[in-house]
Amino acid sequence: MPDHENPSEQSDGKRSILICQALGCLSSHSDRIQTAIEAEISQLELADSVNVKLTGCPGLCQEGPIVLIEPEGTFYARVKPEDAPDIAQSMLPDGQVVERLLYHGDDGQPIRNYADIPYYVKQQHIVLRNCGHINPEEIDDYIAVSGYEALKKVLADMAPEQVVEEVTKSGIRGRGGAGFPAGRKWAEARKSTKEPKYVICNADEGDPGAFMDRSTLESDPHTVIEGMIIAGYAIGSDTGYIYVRAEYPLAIKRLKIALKQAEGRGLLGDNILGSGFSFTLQIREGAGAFVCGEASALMYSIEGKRGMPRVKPPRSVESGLWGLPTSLNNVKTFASVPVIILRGADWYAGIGTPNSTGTAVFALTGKIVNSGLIEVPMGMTLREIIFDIGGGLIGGKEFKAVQTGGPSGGCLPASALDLPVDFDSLNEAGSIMGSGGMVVVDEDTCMVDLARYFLEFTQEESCGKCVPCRIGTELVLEILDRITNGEGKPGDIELLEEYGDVIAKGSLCGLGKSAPNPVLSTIKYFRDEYEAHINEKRCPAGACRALTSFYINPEACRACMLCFESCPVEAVDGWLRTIHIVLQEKCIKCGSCYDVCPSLYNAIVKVPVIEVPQPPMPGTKVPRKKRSKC
Amino acid sequence: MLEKELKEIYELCVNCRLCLKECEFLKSLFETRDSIIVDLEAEGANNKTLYSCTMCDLCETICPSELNIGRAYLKLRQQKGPLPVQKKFIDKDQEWVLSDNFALALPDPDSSECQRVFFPGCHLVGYSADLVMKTYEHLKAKLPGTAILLGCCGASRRECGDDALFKETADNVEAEVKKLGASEIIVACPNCRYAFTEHERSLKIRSIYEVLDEIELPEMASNGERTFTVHDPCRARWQDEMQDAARNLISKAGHKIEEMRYSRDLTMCCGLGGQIPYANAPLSKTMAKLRAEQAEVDIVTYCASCRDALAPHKPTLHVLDLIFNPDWDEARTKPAEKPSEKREHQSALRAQLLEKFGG
Ligand SMILES: Cc1cc2nc3c(=O)[nH]c(=O)nc-3n(C[C@H](O)[C@H](O)[C@H](O)COP(=O)(O)O)c2cc1C
Ligand code: SF4
Ligand code: SF4
Repeated sequence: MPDHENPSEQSDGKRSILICQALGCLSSHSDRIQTAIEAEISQLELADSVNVKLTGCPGLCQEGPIVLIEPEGTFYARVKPEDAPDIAQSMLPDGQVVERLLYHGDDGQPIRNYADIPYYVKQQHIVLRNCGHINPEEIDDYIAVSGYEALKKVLADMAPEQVVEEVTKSGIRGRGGAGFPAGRKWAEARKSTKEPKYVICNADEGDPGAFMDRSTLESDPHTVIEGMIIAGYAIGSDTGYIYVRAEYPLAIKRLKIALKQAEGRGLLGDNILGSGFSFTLQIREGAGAFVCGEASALMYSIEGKRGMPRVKPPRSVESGLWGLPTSLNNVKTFASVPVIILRGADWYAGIGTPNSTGTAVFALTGKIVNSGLIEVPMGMTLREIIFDIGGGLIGGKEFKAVQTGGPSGGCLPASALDLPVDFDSLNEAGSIMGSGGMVVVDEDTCMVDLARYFLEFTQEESCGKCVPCRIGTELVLEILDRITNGEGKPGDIELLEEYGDVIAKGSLCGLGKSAPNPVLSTIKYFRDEYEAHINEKRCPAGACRALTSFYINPEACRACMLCFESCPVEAVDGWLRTIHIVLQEKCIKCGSCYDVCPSLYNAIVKVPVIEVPQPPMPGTKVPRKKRSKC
Repeated sequence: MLEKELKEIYELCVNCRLCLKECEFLKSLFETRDSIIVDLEAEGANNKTLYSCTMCDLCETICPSELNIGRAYLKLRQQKGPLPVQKKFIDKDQEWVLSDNFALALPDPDSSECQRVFFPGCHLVGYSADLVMKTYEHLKAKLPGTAILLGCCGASRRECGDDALFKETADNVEAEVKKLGASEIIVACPNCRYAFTEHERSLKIRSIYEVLDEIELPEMASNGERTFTVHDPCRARWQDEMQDAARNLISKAGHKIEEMRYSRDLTMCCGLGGQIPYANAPLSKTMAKLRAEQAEVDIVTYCASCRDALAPHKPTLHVLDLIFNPDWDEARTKPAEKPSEKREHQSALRAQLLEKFGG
């Protein structure tokens, strides 16, 4: 990880054991690991030379629970409480690295330092710079890594206009999805003469599967707070709100702790650091509707009204919260601000591409080897992200598509892999940057079904205000349901395109405007899949239940009985040494058998319902391959 | 030591755990597939794991990748040698069966040319000298030029890892057959058959059951109307001809057959395989009981050891009883005899043969 001074080399000269306690690792009881390690450390009387502390997410979630040793950067993966004694022992002066817990690379070799793990090598952490390296519940940890230095610099040395100018010069565009230049928004909010003004942090994060903002807040809440105070100073606001969804209790808890600590240090509240500038911050919990992430709906929601987008203009920078000038930004936008101030706009603008400066944070998920949060310079190609950082597809399967931008985004095929990832090129290709969801899908995913999944989401989340959005998404969903059920009709594709156009043009907010994206982009790149469903009643990916049957290839079945045991409805017939058979009339197509059949045999195949081959006679023996002497 | 075996396991094991579910030995000592691997990597953590495997090849049959855990343990036994207690008993037994108390080679006195040699093995004779005598007489009558050879194949040596002595014993049998002027050996015990195929031999090997199935049977054989189930000895696994022949003989004797679920290639060990009674007598007993209890009707088998192991739990006959023993109905529940009694039968048969055919 270049460009990121090791934040945990703290002045006290102690070594640290950092235990990730973000949601993923916590769900594997990383808190127990911490307790166990603490006990071992005190038993070994190492407490004077070793800090044991919780941190937020360092990424690479599927290797969790993760424990980092600083300053060496030793990365331990999949740690269990039972490993505590060995980890504690390793902290003794002559302690040895715990080999078995190290991350192992593709070649099976252990990698000791996390910075050498391929997953991290190509990343550049700005927003995530402290994630996994500091204790998010300790303001001193943040301060020790230049935390609140940017605020001090701004208050001491810069006029508000200069701050706006610096942010403008950095070229940073909003990380919430639309990519509106942050500097321009701040400048307009500053220009408005009405008072008071508001700063809002959008932490609604409603996209299914997204967790970039949650993770940032859980791992490094102070950086968001610092960014917001600087924004307040820049636009001339004394009040800010953090709108965070109620389903993020850990983020809320850590934000509350952070706010209290910042107030305690005089970094928040009246007359900050004696500068005469005052700023207060409050948390507002959202109920979780997707549409409430839209800026104007969000402001209504804070006002206690129903969260529905409104017609613009007037723009929020003139007439936002309670009709007053409001500057609203995403979590990651704010988290970048302290770095821009400290390192300078030129440095930041040097990262990424001319029109999309800085870094992009993605929640890399789906059929990818290394899933987790990543941060890369804008302009990196999809291929680098998916194969170099993501490690390629699980099980070496064929890459089929990548979905970016969640329900507002689109799907891009293999031919787009060399596309540089930035706001403009993704847009041109028919997808969007969005707020950072990136789902990789393989040959087993049906693109029609994927579009249907997102449409189901938007249809449900449509606030209903605009008729094209409300009725249109319903109609589109109905057609997609039909197609995936094997009841598609000629002309359906054209109908989808037509409705898509109407919805996009006739909707007020981004939800409706972008709702057709998943459908239109999959039609654009995977039209043949739609046609196979409609004309041949075939789902090429074998994902649509109504069109797919599971069949056991008698030549490949070795009678391991795993499918027999996993089938919930006794639809697999088989026994020891006997070729297994799927009883089609009983099968509910849950796919359990397909999932458990060992990859060594790959005996279960998905076939079109209309083409299920005749199975062998029940009781047919598996032929012996080898024959021990007898 | 087990690099090759472990590599195979790593590459081919799909962790279906069938071996753990089906094999009584693995089931009794291991909880997971990985714990088996750990034990193999440790080259057998203790004598219990090392000497409790019955070497019955069930694992290989049911394993979808045809891995054989028993063969891995056999290799370890070959490295470590027999347990002292095994060695003591087997030495004593071998000394007896290979000496003039039992061993004997007799050509057919009524034929000038030796075509084949009947080798009943030691267990069957210990079970019933009379059965063997009748079988031989029948063979001799129907297939002139059949010699008889009494001795032992050495299978017990093999199973406890004494490979050199095993080979020597089996080599001697081959030499004796050659000395009699034949190149075909007719075995009665599936263990002998298995033993003779372990090393390269220029012998044609057939079982007595296949031979009997091809020739006319004595009058008394068609005497029954019972229903039996067949317990295939573990050493008859993958021996389709032997399995078929045993069944044909039962049918020819007029009986019906009701198969157990675990039969033929899927047969289970009677508990005497692998010389495990010395190392793990309780497991051996459990296995015999388990196997016998799977039978819903009386059992017919074609290995004398299996017969004696199962009989205490369920009436069991040797298939030759049905053909040559007029009192077979009583034989069903005859308890297994003591080693000393078996030795008496062995000596008695030798004496009778010498008297009748020794010229
Ligand atoms: C339906 C809908 C949902 C949205 N959800 C979010 C969200 O969860 N978080 C977010 O930051 N922006 C979301 N946005 C975008 C916001 O309206 C707004 O553009 C953004 O928060 C501005 O911040 P930025 O300039 O820092 O990107 C959403 C927009 C729409 C239309
Ligand atoms: S899981 Fe696969 S190999 Fe195993 S029994 Fe089923 S079809 Fe055969
Ligand atoms: S798909 Fe599900 S229901 Fe059908 S055979 Fe496989 S496991 Fe059974």
